[in-house]
Amino acid sequence: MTNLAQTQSMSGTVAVWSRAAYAISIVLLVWLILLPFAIIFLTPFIEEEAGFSSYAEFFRDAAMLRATWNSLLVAGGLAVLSAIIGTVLAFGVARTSMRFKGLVRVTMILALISPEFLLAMGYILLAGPNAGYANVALRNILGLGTQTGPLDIFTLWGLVFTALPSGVSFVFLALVPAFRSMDPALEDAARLKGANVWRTIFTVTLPLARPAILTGTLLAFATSLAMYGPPEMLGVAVLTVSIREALLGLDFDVASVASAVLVGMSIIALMLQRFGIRHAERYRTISGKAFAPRTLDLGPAVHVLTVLGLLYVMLALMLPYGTMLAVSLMKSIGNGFSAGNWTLANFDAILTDGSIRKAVFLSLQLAAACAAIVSVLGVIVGYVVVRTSQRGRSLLDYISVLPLAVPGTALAFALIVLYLNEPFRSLGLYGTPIILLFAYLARFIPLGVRNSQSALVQVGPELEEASRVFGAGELATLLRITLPLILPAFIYTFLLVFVLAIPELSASIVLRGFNTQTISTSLLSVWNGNGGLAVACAYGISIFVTVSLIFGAALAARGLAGVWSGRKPTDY
Amino acid sequence: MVSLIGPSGCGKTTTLRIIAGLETPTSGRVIGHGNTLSDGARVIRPELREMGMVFQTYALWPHMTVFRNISYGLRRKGYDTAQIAARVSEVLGMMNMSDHADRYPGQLSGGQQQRVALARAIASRPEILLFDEPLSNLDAVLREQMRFEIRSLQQELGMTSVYVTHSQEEALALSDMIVVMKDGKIIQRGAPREIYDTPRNAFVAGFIGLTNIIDLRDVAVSADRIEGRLPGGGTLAAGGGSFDHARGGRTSVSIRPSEITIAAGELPVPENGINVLTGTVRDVVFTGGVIDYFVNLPGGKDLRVQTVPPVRAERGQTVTLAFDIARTIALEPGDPA
Repeated sequence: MTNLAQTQSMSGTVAVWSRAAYAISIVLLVWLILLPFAIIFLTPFIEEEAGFSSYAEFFRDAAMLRATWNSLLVAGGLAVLSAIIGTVLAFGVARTSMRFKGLVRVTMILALISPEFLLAMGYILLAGPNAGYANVALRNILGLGTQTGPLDIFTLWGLVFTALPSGVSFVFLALVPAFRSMDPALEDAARLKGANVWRTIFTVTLPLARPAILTGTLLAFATSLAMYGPPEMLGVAVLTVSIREALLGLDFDVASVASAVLVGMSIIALMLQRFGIRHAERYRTISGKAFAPRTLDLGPAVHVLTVLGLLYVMLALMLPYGTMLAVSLMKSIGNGFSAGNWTLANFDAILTDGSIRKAVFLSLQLAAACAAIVSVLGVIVGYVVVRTSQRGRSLLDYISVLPLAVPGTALAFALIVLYLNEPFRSLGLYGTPIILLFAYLARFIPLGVRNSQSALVQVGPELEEASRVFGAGELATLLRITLPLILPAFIYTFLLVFVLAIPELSASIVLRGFNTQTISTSLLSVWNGNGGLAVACAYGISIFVTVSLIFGAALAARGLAGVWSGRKPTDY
Repeated sequence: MVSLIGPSGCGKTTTLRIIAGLETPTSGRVIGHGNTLSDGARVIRPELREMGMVFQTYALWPHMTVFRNISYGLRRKGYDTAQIAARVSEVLGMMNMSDHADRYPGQLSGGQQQRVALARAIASRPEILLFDEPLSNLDAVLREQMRFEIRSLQQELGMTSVYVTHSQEEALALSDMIVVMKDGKIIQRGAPREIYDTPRNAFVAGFIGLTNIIDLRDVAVSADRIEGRLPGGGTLAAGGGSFDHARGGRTSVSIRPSEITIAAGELPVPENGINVLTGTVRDVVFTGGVIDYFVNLPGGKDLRVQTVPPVRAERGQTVTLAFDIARTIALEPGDPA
C-alpha cells in the first residue's frame, strides 16, 4: 500500500480531474451564456442617456406595443391549439387502435427538426392570396369570380397556422410517453367504479397526463415567441422582427428593451413549466415496471382520430413539401402543373451557384464545430453536475439551460453589442464566422448538457465505483467505463446539434456579414427574388432531405444507446 | 468473515463504503491489515487499497464481456496477457462459468451475473473482500444456494471478508463474527451462536431470530439466576445474560419460541431448572415443518411457541409451557425490537 501522505485527496471519488472540469465549465458558460444574457438587460443602462426611460419609451411606442401583443397572441393561440390537437393525436397514437400511427409519428418528428421557414415557404406557395395553388383550386371549385382569396396566409392567424405543426409536435412528443407509461390499473379502477370510457378518459387519463401536457404546451409557447423566419416572411410584426428592425436602424436601446421583454416572457413560461411539474412525483405512474399500454375501445370515434391524423400529415408534410417539390421541378411557375413544364435545372442551379456553395460550406463547418464543442462541453458540464459534489454545480446547471429562454435574435443583438464594444472589440470578431459560432454554441449548449446529463444518470454510479475499487483512477474510470457507456448518447447529441444548427436562421440573419452567409440566409435571399421561387424550392427541398437523413442517423445512434442500457443488469 | 447486520439506514453500507474508500469519513481511522487507510480527512484512494468488492447491483460493466470484466482489475495491476488469461479461466472455473467468458452481462441470468461479480472480486487475490448485500437481488432458492457457495469459497480462499446484509439467515450462516448495528452504532458483536444464544438486548434478540420478550417485576438476583414476577402472576427465572441491569426491580428476559415445550392440560411442577407457565392457546398455525402456537398468558401477554409436528394442542385448550432457565436470557434495557 502507498504512503498515506502522498495520496491525500478531498474525497474518495473527487480529485484533480473533476476540479479541472469544473473550472472549464464555469469559464465557458459564463463567457458564452451569462455575459450575453446580462448585456440584453444592461444595454440601456450602460449607454449614457437611456436607462429606465427607454423602457417607458418602449411602452409608449404604438408599433412596439402592437409587436408585443402580436407575439403574445401568436404564442398564446398556438399554445392553445397545439395543446388540443397534440393531446388528441398523442392519445390516439398511444392508446387507441387508430390507423396510420407510424406515419403520424414520423411527421411529428420531421415537423420538429425541419426548419420552420421551409414550412412558411410551402404555405406561401399554397395559400398566398393571389396565386396560391390552394386558392386557385378553391376559386375554381367554389366558382368564385374574385382574383384573391379565399385563403390569406399573410395574416396573424396564417402565422399561427404555419407554426402549428411544430407546436403540435412539442405536445405530442411530450405526451406519448406519458400515456404509454400509465398503469392501466388506474383506469380499470375507474371503470370498475362505473365510469364509462369517456368519463374515464376525462377524469383519470387526462388529469394524470397534466404535467406532460403543460410541459409540451409551454415549450410550444416559448419556441413560438422566439420564432423569426415565418413572421418575417409572412410580414407579421412580432418582437423578434422588431429587434432586427431596430438593429438595422442602429437603435440599440429599443432592441435591448424588445429583447428583454421577449426574454422575460419566455422565462415566465419556462418557470411556469417548472412550477407545473414541481409535484411530478404525485403524477408518477412509472414505477420502473413496464406496462403493456392497453388500447381503449372508442367505437366508431376512432375513425375521427384516423382522419385527424391524416389531416395533420397532409398539412404538416405532404401539402407544403409536395408543393415545394413540384415547384422545384418546374421550368416556369406561371405554367403550373402542365406537361413539358418539368426540369431539373433548378437543382443544377443551386449546385453550380458559387455563393450558395459557399454558404452551404460555411453552415456545415459551423454546425460541425458547434456540434463537436457542444457535445464535449455537455459531457464535461453534465459530469460536474451529476457526478461531483462541487459547490455551485446546480448554478452551473441553471446557467446551461438559460439560453432556452433567449430567442436567437435577442442573443444575436447581445453578441453584436458585446463584440462591437471594448474590451472585446479589438478581437475583431464582428462579421466573422467566429461570432456566428458563439451564437450557435450558446443556442445549443442546453441541448448538449441536457442529453449528457440524462445519459450520465443512466449509468449507475456503482459502475464507476466498481472501477475504482478494482484499481482504476478517476481519469482511467472516465475513459474506460463512463465514456464508452455514454458514447451512443454522445453521438446522438452530436448529430442532433449538427442537424439543428445547419439551418439556424434567427441569430444568423442578424450576425451574418457579406462574406458569412449561411444556408438559411442565402436561401432567404434566393427566395426574396435573388434567384426565383423555383430555385428557392429546390434549395429548400435539398435542405429538408439532408436534415431528415442526418436525423435518421442520429436516431440510429440513439437506438444503439437503448440496446446498451438494455444490457444493464441493474434493475432494482 | 465479519457480517454487518442491521435495519435499513443503520449505517452498515456506509461503513462498508468507508472501508472501500468510496465514502470519506468526517473523523476516525480505518486500519486494514496493519495499514492506515484513512485518518480523519486524509484518505487513501479506493484504487490503491487492494480490495475486491461485490456490489448489490453486481455493477458489471455492460459494454464489456465477462472476460474483460474479470480481467479489468488484473490489467490495472499490470499482469501480463498470459497471466491474465490463466487467472481469469481459473476463477471462472471456480464459479462453474468457464463457458461464458465471451458473453455480455446482459446475456446472463441473475445468478450467473452474481457469479461473475464474485469472480471479478477475487480475481486479483485481494487482501480484503467486501460484500454489499450481494444476494438481495436474487430469488429465494438461488439466494440460499449462493449463500453456501460464498461460504465455501471464502473458507477455501481464507480472505478477510466484510459482508453487509439485512438478512439474519445470511449473517448466521456465513459469518465468523456478526456485528449488529443500529442508528450508526454497534449494538453487539460476537460469534453467530453467541449472538443468537445470548442477545444483549431486546433489539438484538428480535433482529437475530424470533423471540419472546417478557417483562418481570420484583426482581431478585442470586448467584446463578435472576428471578421475578410475571404481570399476570407466577414467577420466572433467567439463567443467562446480564444480571446487572435490573432497574427499579424490573428487567426483561428473552426466550426463543423453539426453546419452549408445550403440553395440553395442567401438569405438576417438574424438577428444578425449568420455568413452567400455564396459558390458553389463542391460535395454532401449521406451516409444514414448523407449528406456531400463540399462547395467551393470564397477564394478557401472548407467547409464541414453535414445535415440530405433530400438533400438540388445539385452539382454546389450556396448556403448560416449560423451558430451560439456562436458555432464558436476561436483557439489558434498550429499545424494544
